[in-house]
Amino acid sequence: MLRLPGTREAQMRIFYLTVLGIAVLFWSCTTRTTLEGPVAIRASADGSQPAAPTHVHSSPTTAVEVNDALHRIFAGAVIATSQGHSFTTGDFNGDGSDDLAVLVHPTDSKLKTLNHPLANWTIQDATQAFVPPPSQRVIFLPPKPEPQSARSKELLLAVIHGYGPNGWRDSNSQQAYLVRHAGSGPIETRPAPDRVEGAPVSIAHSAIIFEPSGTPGFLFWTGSQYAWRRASSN
Amino acid sequence: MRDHLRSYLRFVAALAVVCLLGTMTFVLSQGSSQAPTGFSTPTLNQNPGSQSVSNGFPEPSGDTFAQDQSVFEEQEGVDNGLGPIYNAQACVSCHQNPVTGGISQVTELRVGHNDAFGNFVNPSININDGQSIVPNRSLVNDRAICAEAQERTPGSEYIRTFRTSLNTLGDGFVEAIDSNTLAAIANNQPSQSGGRIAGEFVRVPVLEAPGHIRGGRFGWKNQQASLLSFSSDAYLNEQGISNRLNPTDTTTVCKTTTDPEDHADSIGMDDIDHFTTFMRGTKAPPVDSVLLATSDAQAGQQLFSAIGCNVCHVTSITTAPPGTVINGGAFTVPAALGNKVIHPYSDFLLHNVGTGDGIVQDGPPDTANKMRTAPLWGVRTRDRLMHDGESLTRNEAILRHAGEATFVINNYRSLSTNQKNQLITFLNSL
Repeated sequence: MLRLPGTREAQMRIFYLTVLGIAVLFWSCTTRTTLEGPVAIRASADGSQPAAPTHVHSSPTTAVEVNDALHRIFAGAVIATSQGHSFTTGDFNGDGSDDLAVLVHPTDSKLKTLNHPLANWTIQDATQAFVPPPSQRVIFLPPKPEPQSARSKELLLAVIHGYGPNGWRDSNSQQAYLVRHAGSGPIETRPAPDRVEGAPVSIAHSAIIFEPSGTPGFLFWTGSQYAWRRASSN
Repeated sequence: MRDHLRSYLRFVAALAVVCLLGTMTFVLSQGSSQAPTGFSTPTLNQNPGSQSVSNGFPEPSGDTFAQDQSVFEEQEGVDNGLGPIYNAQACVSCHQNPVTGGISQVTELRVGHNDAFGNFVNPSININDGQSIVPNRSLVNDRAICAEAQERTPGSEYIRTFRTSLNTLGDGFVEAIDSNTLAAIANNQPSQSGGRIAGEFVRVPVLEAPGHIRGGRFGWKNQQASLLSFSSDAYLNEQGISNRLNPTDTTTVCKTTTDPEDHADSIGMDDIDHFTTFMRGTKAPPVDSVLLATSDAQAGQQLFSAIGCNVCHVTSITTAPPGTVINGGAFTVPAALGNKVIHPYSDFLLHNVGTGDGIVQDGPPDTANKMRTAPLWGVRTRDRLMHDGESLTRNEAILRHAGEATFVINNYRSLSTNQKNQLITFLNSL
């Protein structure tokens, strides 16, 4: 049985001091500071990537495969041109996966679908792609370009970015660009020049889409779109 | 005997009350609550900060939130250390939309090149007709206080990118996230995504705690872990004002002031302390609650998670409990920032989504083509999207995601036009 010493007043004093002491002790326990602890990171999440694609040389491309890929992405909204050398493959965006470039025309009956603002592809103009000018003191970003839309019978370059080892043949390969004013073809793949002004470093060891006829030039990936460059300017 | 019993019972009862109160206090202190939100730091010409409301972050003695905002908005000049090379005269020049501390369309330029082994190398840029050099920096300042000091990108620096200015509103809550929370998100992502997504957690130095590193979370490359480090770095590199944590200017060409140029004011606070206190005191960006309440936005919110956007654009994170010591021991999370649930729509990790800029900052070489997941809170105030501002519509920005995000974006492609519109409506409510 608890028996406090001294007078009743002294007992009460001890009692309340004890209660206060316990309260302070409890308070200090509940509000203690803690240190941000050492971080435990699983190896796969600290610097590695899941199944990074490795570049593989694809087997020869057939027109049937090209049409299949176009249909997978565009669902009949574009059709490959019948001219020779109308498609080519290579790693155009530098991600290690084979990409496909095809000269196409819009399907007239599906122009509305093709130009829909929420379409699954991006329509862009190769001559309006912004490339940072070299050696300029202050670079002003250009005004926003007009929204691009494809016109009836217009020649477009469809570029389908590959995914993983199977590249553009993979069913997951669905990122696509429809490039306006990308030349008139025929097209072929060439190694990227040692340096392309404005191009991201990732394309340094990859490929460009070259057009040898007409005004010779090439298309390269800027990191967000395809830009046209005259062959003589680089 | 009865007195003793009564005394004993009184003691036990009092002890029970104390325990109950203590337990309630403990539970309340450990229980999380929603972080306050609001665009509540209007940019005013007269009496800057006078209409601002903080999140309750405790101000140092003699300081006020309005004073912190005022310093954040202060225009620097050559006489108090601006430059010699710089990008802007005030923090608010780049962090303003729609209120002080927010975002802007202003971009900074970063360049570099790779060595023979493919490793990124920072440039050393000649200025002053080749008589001086700005060494080892990927940042190229767009302005200078004299023509001689102006940086120009050499043709040899073929890796070039623009980076848009980031939001700082609510960053006090982001700083208060325990690094283990971010690491746990990274650790869980492979299993959430069938091994296709794995955010990279990088640790970077905390300038105010020499020798300490912490999980990076600020900047497009997660190059900063603390707001004081960020303030110091930005003051030097964006405004050219040396300070106690970065005490030497990047060049002495045309320089007339003495390092360090940031000095303590009458209450003992440097400018970088005011910047830090301001950012720690800001509320998190609010949603457009009217739009979010619409059926379209609600459906879009469901789709956002259903197709997997939320694996990286994490919808909710709880900050560390009050009293947690972070930043290498330099900062203790206060009650205003601790145990708060925030909705940043980011994992604050680095990912390769096919938009990498080739530049390495504080992370390992493999971060060259990775960027921090852009927090989507407040994204309705942005019209130029992705790190370079090159994507102008929500749809374009979504379709630009590739790499780790491929399967998520393919899920988006499979949505109907109506569903895409719902998803975009949801994004426009953030």
